[in-house]
Amino acid sequence: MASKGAARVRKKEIVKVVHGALLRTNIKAQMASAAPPLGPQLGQRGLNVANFCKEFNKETGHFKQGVPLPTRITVKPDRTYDLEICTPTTTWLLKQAAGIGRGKASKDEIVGKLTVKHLYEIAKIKSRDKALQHVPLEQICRMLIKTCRTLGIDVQYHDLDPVELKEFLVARKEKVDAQLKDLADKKAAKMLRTT
Amino acid sequence: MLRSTLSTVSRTTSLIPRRLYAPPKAAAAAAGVKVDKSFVEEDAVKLATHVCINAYTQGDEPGPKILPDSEYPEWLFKLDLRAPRDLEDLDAEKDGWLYWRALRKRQVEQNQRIQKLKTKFLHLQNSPSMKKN
Repeated sequence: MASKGAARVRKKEIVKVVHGALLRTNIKAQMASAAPPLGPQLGQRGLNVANFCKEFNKETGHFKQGVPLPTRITVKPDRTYDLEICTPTTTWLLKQAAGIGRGKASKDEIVGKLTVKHLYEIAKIKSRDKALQHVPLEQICRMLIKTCRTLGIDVQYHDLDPVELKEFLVARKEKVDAQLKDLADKKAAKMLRTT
Repeated sequence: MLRSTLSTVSRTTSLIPRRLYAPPKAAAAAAGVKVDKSFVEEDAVKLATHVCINAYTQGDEPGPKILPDSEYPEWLFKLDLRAPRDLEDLDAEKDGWLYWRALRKRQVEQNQRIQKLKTKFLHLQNSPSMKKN
């Protein structure tokens, strides 16, 4: 009887997780809130979440609301932090330039069209980042081409024809709507399933 | 006749259910939650003539304008836009380091596969059926 009581009293060993000093996340401009995932990440490092959100939203006031910004938060031992906000994410810039909302769903799907000139302009913006400060533009362009391939964006040398592009975008929009409808149907079927 | 119609109207209006409570505060709740206002440009002419990447609140322009070819460096039009090729499609003399990198990648994959096969049948090595007669 006593052994059972002793077993109950015995507590589990709590393994303390030591979090790194650097936290890298993508936060939407003017939309930082204490809700997950940001709140718990900052809370685990002992930062005041409300103050951080207020400061971040103030810092990103010149950006349009909802633009995803790669953020580096360096937490110091005295629980102060350095906030470094980079230029918007590469995927967001490419999607905006191509005029698409979502990337490819299947392997060989083409979701948008861009020219190398578009990539050059995006590379110039990305070169302002601290991480890409001393990287030549040519190399950044190569990185962008790879990202385009993962998103399903077709890159070409010659300029885009507005008429062709409009036809392509209309056809693409119909396809996306069909995809979203299928997803919604699958979700509904899953919710209705009782067994 | 008129009296009867009036009486029916009054009777019907009395049957209409009236809300005796405050309206739901949907608008107030929605105002507190910040809505994602980022949009995608759908004008094909703008997309073809500009790089629509203006992430800032100031400035009505969609982004930098696309200039003629002479304004851009030469290397831009020599970039390799092809998809990454398999080892079989590469040539050691023509493609150089691309070939050797692909070869090394293939070797690593093969080694990993062999290691998996080695450990897959470890549990059978002492079984009676595997013993030599």
